Amino acid sequence: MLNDAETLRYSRHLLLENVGEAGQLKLKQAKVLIMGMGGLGAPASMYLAAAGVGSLVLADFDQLDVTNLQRQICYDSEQVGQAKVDAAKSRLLALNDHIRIRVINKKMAQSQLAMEIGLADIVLDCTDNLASRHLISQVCCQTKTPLIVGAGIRLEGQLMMFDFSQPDSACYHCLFPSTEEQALNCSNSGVLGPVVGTIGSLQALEAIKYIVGLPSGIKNQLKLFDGLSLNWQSFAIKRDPDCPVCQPYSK
Amino acid sequence: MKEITIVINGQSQQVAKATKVIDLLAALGHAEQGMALAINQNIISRSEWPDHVLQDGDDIALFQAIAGG
Ligand SMILES: [Zn+2]
Repeated sequence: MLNDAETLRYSRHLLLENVGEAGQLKLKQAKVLIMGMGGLGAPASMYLAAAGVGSLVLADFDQLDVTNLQRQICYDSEQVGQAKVDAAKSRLLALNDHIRIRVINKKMAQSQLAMEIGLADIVLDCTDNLASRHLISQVCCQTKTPLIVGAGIRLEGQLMMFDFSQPDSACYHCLFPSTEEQALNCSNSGVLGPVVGTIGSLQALEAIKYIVGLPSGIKNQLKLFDGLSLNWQSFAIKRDPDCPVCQPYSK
Repeated sequence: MKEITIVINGQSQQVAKATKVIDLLAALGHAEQGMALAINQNIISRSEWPDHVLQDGDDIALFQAIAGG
């Protein structure tokens, strides 16, 4: 049951046939792990907190830098130097104190990552490097935890969803097998804030849809966003039968 | 007819009939690291690149993994 304060707060969800009280209760009981609290994690976490996702776990080991403020919109100028997860937690609880937030302010060993991912209903990959992206996808595959991957640089964005709770899911490695880090990242190539804002917002949308039981439009798909033309391209990702990461876990 | 016409990232191009994906990438001089390739909106797995033969009219998208966020 929702209490009176929650019924009022979430009234615009309750009006939606696709969410309603049953959906809101699912959101309240859901646990979402957000890996990386940068330009993607900032808007994603704010939308999920606002939506009443009952338990958010924020993982990041960076301190807030003044150069982050151009796009990481959950932070304030006075918070520069603070641990990002602590700064984000206070912002998100100010937004909605009906939810619980736990923070992980360190680089996790694979065993801890596996435990944290295993505890989550769904994971958002909002990280900024390929090594983390490969590891998160691998552990989500092992633990059969659905994963929504976002990425952005310059004026380009990428969005994909792997529903590892289903036996036919492809993985990040099927799409991008190379684990070699690239020269291009936000620090040296630049990025426009609304580009990562768009992708991070859509990660939150897909998470909410998954939690309330709506079908995803992007399962086993890669969406490419061009911030210049505002065009989207869609590609079907099929499981690579030779993929060393997801093949051992098929069936 | 020894050549077929394909489109690569929006640009029309002539290639030899029976060209395979891996030959195309070599001819384009693309480093394979971090690249993904789709033909007609379907991702072609890396393991299929050596055998997958391009067809006349194929619409090819080549792009890199974005790490940033
Ligand atoms: Zn795979």
